[in-house]
Amino acid sequence: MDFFSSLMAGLSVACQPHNLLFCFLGVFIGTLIGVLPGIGPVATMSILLPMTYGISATTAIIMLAGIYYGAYYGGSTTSILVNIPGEAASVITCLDGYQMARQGRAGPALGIAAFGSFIAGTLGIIILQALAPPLVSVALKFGAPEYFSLMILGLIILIFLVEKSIIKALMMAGVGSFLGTVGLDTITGVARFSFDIPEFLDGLGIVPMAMGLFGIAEIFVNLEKTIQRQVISTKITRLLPSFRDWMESKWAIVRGSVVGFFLGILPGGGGVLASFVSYAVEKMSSGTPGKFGHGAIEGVAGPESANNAAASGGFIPLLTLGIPVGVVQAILLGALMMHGITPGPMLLKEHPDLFWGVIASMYVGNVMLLLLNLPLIGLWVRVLRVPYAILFPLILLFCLIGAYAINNSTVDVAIMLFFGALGYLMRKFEYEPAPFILAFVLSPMLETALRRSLIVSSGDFTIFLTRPISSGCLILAAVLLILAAHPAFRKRRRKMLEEAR
Amino acid sequence: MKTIRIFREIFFAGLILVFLLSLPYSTSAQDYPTKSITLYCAYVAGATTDITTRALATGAEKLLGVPIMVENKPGGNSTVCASLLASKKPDGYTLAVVPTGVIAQLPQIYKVSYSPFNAFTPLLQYSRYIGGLCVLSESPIKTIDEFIAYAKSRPGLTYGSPGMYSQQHLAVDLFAQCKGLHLKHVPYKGGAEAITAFLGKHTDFIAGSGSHIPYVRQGAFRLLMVYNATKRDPSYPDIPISRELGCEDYPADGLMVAGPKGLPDPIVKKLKDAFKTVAESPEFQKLLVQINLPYDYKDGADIDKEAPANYEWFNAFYKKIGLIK
Repeated sequence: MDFFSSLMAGLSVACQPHNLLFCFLGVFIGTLIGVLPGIGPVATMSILLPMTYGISATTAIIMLAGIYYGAYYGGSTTSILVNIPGEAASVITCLDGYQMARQGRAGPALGIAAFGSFIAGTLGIIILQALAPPLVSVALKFGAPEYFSLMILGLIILIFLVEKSIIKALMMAGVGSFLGTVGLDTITGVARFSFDIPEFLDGLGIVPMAMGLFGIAEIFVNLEKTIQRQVISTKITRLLPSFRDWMESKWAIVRGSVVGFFLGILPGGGGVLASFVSYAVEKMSSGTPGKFGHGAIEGVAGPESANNAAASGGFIPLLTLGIPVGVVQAILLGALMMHGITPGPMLLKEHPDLFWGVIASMYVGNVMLLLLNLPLIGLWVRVLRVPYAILFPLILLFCLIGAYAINNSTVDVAIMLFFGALGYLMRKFEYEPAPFILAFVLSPMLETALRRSLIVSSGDFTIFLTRPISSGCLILAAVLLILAAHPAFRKRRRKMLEEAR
Repeated sequence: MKTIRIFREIFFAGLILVFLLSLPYSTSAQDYPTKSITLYCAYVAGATTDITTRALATGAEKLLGVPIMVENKPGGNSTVCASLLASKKPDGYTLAVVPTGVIAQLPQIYKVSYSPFNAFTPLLQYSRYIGGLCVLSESPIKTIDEFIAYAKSRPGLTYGSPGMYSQQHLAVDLFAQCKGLHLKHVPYKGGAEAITAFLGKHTDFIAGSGSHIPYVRQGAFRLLMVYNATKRDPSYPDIPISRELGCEDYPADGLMVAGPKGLPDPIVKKLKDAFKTVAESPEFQKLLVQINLPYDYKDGADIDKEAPANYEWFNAFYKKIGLIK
């Protein structure tokens, strides 16, 4: 079946009234929980899973998938408005998105996030449709050595994220890596730093941590300034991105889509990694890197596109091989099995209507999300006008409820508050949270990949160099490292720091 | 200032109301159940255990007449869920689906907040986890004997398993020791990760944990041997089990419904009857076949009876393989 005829077949399934209804329901709920800090698609999908018993498998997956990528649309809203990441993947949007909001440009920020997500999501689906099988075989080639090298590359990219002192950023990365070791170690089965708290066995939660480091810390910092003084400029310049904004963002969106899609296919990759890498790519390829962290629209357009593309990419291994790349896909897998459908290599042959129907519904869902989110921008922007003295207790309340709602556990609330206090101190002493979070996410994966590779190679370190993809990533990392130490780069950094002042 | 006073009064009234609402209602066994029951699941939504948990909940809801809410409490190899369950009141409104290993095995390996024999009231076991050693279907190895010969000639074959000291890992390890093979274990987090690596040919074979069955059915994997089993898999009658080949096997963990210790007898009986009826129902049996879990019923009282002996057996076993001192 060629591209268009399969698309038509899929659309005929996706546009059936009940499928349209459930698609809308899914994306609507997804946007809602994406906006609400803390509770995310995982919790929501598990709660709604029983609802899917009575409906057909195709309809069920359409709705559940809608919740998933809808959440990525909504997650950017609180990041931009109040510096609280609704999802782990929206953390990086806080950096520039919130600054744009403070400058009265919340509308364009939300708008470019919505449009970027739409374009990236649609692009991602097109690539999914056209290139699914060859892409999967590439993704499968990523074994432990490749992951290790990719994580090394990711950590090197961290250097390019740094705003101020590199030494301090490396210190933060060190602490982040250390905290990443908390939990049950996969290779030895030993519990590390869990202090007999059962909730720590799975590691410290990244969502409450990010909410604390960015959101709660911001509240503390703002409270320090007198409440009378308006925290956010109420001079709302415009509601939608201007032509200039589009011109500045267009390549960011394209690059973000590509980066996000490929990182989304990799098991364990996903939206978090995609958004961080996209931000670093944008910063590296920008002519004026100094504006990043102070309201650069590419810093919103890129990462937001990346995490939506990653959401599309994450469906490829699931639909083509029955492999879930993350917890969300595992839930989708479970939903399929509950309906008697076993995803695997045969899914396309045995259930083409499900396969193409779901893919086509993703196009439809993305359109719905754009239509849903754009009119809401005006509403969100008005929220910023509420006096901060009334706003911040509400934000705090939502964060507390949201953090609890992740796992019905007070441990997450405690984590959030602890990192809120820590984040406040970090802000006062100018230690950046972004390298911390990146290292926290990457280091455990890096460590596990390293040890697995060495098990397979019986302790031989050359395994990282003899495999093509792995050595490629390492060479790229080395190149970046050299670039970072090169005088031309350091001159650029100095210029960037001056621009920032 | 008057508005502030009104606000304050409303606030305190609200506080008192919330306090009153949070007081536990008294429940007698005759009226049980009077409100909704929470059923924890030790694994993430969508996992095979979760699917069976939800099916049990849906079925038992109708028999007990109250809603049963499934909540996923994954993590720590089911110790998070087990610890949580052990800390709840034995009033019959909090139950969980956990592996039977939480009683006799896990407390020996992990530091848990409960004491092994004083934490749970097992209600019933309804299934058990299975395992199978598989190679890719494109491999020239067709039988387990060919595999043994191949492994002897090429020491250091790698295999993935769902986790360190999982029943699949230990079964393959026992098999390797028995046949004098040198195999390298690569631990992953869960069956799906192991399968992904195997599909990418990053491991030579796989210690399947149930999630391998769809791939066997669809022809991507070839099943060579079944372990964690006392008899052959009825769906694969030609495939031998490791015991037949003369090797010690690691007993399979069962899936059970349990409550905290001290559940009153009338409540226990009501729950047991309800869940047993659901487990024996044709819909549930069909689901088990679909996700390839065997139906393995055991009454909760029997689980309790066997626990001390199991504890001793595993204690000796773990000491032998050096897991504990």
